[in-house]
Amino acid sequence: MNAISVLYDRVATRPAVRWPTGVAAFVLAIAATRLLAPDGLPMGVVVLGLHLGALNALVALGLVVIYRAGKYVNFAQGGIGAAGAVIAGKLIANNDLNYFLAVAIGLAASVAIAGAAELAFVKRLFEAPRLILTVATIGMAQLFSGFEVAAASFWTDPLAVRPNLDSPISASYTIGRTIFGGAHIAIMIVFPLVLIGLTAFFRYSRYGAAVQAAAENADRARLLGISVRRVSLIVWMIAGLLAGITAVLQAPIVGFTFGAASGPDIMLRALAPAMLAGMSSLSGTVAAALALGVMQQAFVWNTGSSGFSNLVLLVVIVGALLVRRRRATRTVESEEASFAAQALVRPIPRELAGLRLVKSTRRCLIGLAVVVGIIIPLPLSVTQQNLAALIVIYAIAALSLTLLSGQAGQISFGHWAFAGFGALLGGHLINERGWHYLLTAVAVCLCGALVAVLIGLPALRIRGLFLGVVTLAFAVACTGYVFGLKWFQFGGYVRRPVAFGIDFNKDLWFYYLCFGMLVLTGIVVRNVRVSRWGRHMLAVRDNDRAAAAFGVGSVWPRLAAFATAGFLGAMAGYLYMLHQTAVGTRSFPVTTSLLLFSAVVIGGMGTVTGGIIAALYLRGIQYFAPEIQLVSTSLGLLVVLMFLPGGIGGLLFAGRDAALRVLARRWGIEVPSLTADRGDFGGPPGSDGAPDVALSDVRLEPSAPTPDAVPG
Amino acid sequence: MSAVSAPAATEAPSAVRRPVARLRHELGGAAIYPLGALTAMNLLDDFDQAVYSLVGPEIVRHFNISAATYGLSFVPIIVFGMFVPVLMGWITDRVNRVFLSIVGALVWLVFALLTGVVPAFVLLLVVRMLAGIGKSVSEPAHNSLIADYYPLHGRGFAYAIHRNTYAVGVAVGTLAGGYIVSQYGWQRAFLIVPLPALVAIVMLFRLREPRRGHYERVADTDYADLPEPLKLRQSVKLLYNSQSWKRFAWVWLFLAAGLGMTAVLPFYFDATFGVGPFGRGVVLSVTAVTGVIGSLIGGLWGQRMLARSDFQKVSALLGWSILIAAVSLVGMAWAPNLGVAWAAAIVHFSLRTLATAPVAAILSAVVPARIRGQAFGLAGLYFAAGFSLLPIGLSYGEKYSYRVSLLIGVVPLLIGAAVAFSAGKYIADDIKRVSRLGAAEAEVQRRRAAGEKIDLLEVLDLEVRYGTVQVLFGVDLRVAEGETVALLGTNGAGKSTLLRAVSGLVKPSRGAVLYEGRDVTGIDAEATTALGIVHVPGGRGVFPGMSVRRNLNLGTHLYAGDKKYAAEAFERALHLFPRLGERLDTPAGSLSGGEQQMLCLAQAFMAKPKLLIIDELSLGLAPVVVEDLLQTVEQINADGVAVLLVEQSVNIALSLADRAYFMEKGQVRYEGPAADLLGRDDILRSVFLAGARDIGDLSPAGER
Repeated sequence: MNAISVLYDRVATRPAVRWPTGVAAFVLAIAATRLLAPDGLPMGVVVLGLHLGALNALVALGLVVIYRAGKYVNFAQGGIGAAGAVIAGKLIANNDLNYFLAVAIGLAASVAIAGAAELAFVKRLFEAPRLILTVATIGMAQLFSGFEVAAASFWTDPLAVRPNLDSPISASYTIGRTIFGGAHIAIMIVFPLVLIGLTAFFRYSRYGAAVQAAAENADRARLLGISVRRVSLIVWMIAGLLAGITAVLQAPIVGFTFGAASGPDIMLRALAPAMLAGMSSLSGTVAAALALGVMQQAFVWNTGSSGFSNLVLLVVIVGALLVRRRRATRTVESEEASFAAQALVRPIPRELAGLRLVKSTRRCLIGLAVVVGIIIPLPLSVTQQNLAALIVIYAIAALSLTLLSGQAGQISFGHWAFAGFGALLGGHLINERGWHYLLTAVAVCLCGALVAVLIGLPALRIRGLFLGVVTLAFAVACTGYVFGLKWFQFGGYVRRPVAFGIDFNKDLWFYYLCFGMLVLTGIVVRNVRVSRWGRHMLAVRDNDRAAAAFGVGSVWPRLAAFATAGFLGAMAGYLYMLHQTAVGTRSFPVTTSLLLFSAVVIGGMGTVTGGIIAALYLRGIQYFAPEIQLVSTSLGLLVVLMFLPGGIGGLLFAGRDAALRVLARRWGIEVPSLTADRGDFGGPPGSDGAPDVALSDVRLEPSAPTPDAVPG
Repeated sequence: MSAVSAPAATEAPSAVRRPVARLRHELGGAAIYPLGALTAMNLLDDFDQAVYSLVGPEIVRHFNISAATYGLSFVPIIVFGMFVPVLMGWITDRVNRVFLSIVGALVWLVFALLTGVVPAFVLLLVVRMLAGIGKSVSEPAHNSLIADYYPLHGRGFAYAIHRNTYAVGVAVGTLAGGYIVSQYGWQRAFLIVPLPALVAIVMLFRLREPRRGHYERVADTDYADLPEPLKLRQSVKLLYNSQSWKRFAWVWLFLAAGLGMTAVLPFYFDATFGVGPFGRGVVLSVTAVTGVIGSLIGGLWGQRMLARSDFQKVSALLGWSILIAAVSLVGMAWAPNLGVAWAAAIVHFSLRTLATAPVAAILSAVVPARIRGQAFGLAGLYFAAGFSLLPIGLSYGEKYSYRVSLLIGVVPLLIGAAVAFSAGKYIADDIKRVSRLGAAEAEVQRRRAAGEKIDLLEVLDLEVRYGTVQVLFGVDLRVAEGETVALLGTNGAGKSTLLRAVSGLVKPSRGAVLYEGRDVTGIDAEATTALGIVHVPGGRGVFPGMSVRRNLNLGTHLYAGDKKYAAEAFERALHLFPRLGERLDTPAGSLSGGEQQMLCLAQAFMAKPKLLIIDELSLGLAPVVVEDLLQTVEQINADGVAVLLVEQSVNIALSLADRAYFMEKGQVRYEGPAADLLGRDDILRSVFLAGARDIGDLSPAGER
């Protein structure tokens, strides 16, 4: 497949050969699959695969269209259409509306939702790094799944009457033993029409050229009078239409999924072909999607489940990314920006860190936090103690993600999968192999570290939002395939241990165990940050070329970050398993990984405080207001991305800086790093317009933290 | 204009005997009648609004709905408030404002009369919404008119009187309305209440449309022959150049939020102290009368301070009054009995209304007269957004207690006070900017009327920041029609940034850009291109993945509707650069550097430039190629297109340019005829030795 992609890249510059190449690639892929499949492959399965591939292709086309215009991956693509499909289905089921009229209304709703989302969120993040925008689309995906439920609740019986989108075509035909109904015929009618329409738009319309121009050089496009923002709006509305068509076409085949953040596995099936086509060629995307659809059906036919194909998708995505040609342009660089570049928390300035007041206040605050952590479960009920332990476990997971994504700058959308490794492998070792708890703990943590390093290897070449895609694929492969292996199976409950005369079946004691682990994790994460290796990590995150120029290689800091994060993640998972006592594959859905990531962004990426806030936010809302959890995390994420780049933790640190500034002024200490960038944006710098701050006084780059100055 | 402050003290004794003369005096010596007419109209509108909110409990009972649902009936007004005022403000700046006020008044009158006869609550919503449209049609027009009827030192008082109608409306409206309602029922009251408006409408017919910016203009010219106005979106962007407008719009929002919260007062008195409609009328009207006093005092104080240019004092006055209003709101919420609540309400109302008139006067003074209607329209949007807290207040009031609603109202007022305190330091700068803009606009019109050459581009006191780093420090620059101007300077002097600010790629933090005598500061790059400012960026300027043909077609993107022009321009481009014709189907990325520059220039020529901005044409090109390109530029210039040229190469620049600017460290160091620059060794040496100098020189850029 990779060879095809490379071949594709080579010839893609000549428009005339695109289609034939696509077809050729497709035929090759089918032939390869037929040869590889051990039991041969009936024609019916191939054709079925083509249908499913066509559905994936529609989503993938939406992804490519948006990526081409803005160089970010739209994780909300699957979700945009869902609400529209539900509206159409309910109009048919509840109001007996004509199929075509209802679908037209549904599609209009999808387009409107996409347009509104663009205006509300994308437009505001227009100048932001592409990674931020990509993360915002995750928030939007969660929001859209909320829309789906909201759309259904317009009717008095939201779910009593299932929405109905059965195809109006009643014909059917059979190939081999596979029966194809009206829904399949509809796909084969609509799909080519969409392709023709899309091609015509890009080739012949005024905005087709504008979309490409805006993507290649936005500033230059604006100088020629092309409204780049309008282009973005148009592209989103096209993507909305594509998503709506997809949702309407697939509803009669796979049904409606209410409230689930548009399944990451569905997303992945569209991402893989889009990646193979380099996120740019429409025809290549279609060919790859069709081929992968057939391949997937071949696996289902041969193995009886689609699980293994998820693993293959991971391999395909990693492969496609590794062979992707690197274009040395600035757009590519910006898409690889690390997340933490948005919000840097400054360490306490060296001038102040040594002061006794500052030192003792810091110690007091940390001591206070620990004391509160120890006292807090005492007055609580057992259920509440149980919840408190859970929050602490999530805080450990959030801290490990903070280390990886915030400090090392490696995005991970599949972090909860590491916890899955710790939990499921741990349960297996204890229950099925009879290992000791402590030994198991060490084993699973090391195993988590090992797996993380394996994921980290491609990360040496893949960065930014595409690393996010890889980690997401990893999580999907874990839940879809890996966790189904026998090494992750165990029957019944895992009893919590009794050790040193302490019965951890008591929730209070278990809480203290978790809390101790959290404190240890906090110390580890903080010490990593101030260690020599941690400085290397930050340097590589901020500018790996500059770091290399100073003799700091990027390989070991990155891999070590992955290993530590995997270790801690698996530890969180192990504790989670002991906490729940019974866990299974379903305890580690990919959506939790995404929620965890959102929560860490909300809490504030890059600091211990932020990680703990993240856990409080995530589990706190789940506890106090479970019905708004998805909406609150998604809105919280979007608000943070748009208005509070440092997250809630960033606010706290801004407060700390303000306090330090007051202190410095009162004691007459000159602290340039606190005041140099305080020029009120937009205001006159001095009374008579004379500049206060000279260019040469201001450093453009934030300085790397010094070892004796640490974040609080 | 602020210097024309009135000697109030000396005239005071005689003014007491002649109240009309005194009033005229406080209004800056302008006629009273226009204010009277506008105020009368506004008064009746607010009168109707006051009665409507007074009878809230009755409406709730009549239609058997919840208070929160009733609160929702304000929402359509708010939703319409979101975009109607902005649009109306835009229209206000373009049509006869007196006419607009009359139309608005008539629309309002018709639907206000219908309020009493609707059979269902939904229809009541529709009727109130349409009446609200009438109001939002006339609101920006009224405010804009007042600014042109009255000079700045009378404007605070004028706005105080005009705005006061809310308080008077509440006072009279609730008292008289309360009486009428208790006599005839709420429905018939609405057939009586709006009728006097007919008189006010007749008064409006006698008004004459004043000239826009009457009191701000320097030369006595008219706006009749100004170029085509900007589109709505760009026009709105112009407002955001005014730092103090931005901040006071937020103050406006938070004041409205406080207002929205205190709109629960009738419910509060009804539910907490059991006061009936007439009693509520008495309580609220007395409170409102004190509000009138507060407003007049605020208007007078405010305008005195404005006249003396004591802008910090104005903002302190606003901040303190909003702060005290917030504190008294707490008192109102915690009041143990009606007496305390009432007293707190009096303090609250008088101080909050004290703040409104100066805010309106400031809003009128810190934006150019040409977009004043827009300024008030958009401020109306902020107002509506703040007011939309009302339904939330009512629903909280119903759920817990109306005391909670009042307490919620404290938060926006506190924020508003903080913003007001911080905003004062920007006013002086913005007023100065407005007068400079006005003078520059007037000069362009004068020259145009006299048939002289105008300055096509005029950059005034421009500052640009990237984040926290300031790059340009008060740059002035002008390009006359048909002129070629060279912009020279050391590396990192800010030349490209200046060009980017002119074409709209970066937003200046201060100063102004005028093009053809109109303000285009901070508008979008695509809009400046449509106006004729075509910028050829330095370095990569083509779309590498697209064929030469598609690249060229993008040059006429703005004129795609005009197929004939597009084809013509395409032909002309190929005629100018025949080498492009040979490579129409190759990707632009595989052209040579010189060919790419040709393509770039060709695109620019196709976009109908009046002012061509060229950044670093010679960068990385062979001298022969540069020679070719320059000839084409000269050719274009000969057709009447003005050219602003940034060059590293002094020889090239000076061979072409009539005048030259020399920039260093974000400031203009030399301005004058290009030929003279060749004699200035001191400057030229710094260009050639720029690299060496920059390494050695670490002195701050601010040193002059």
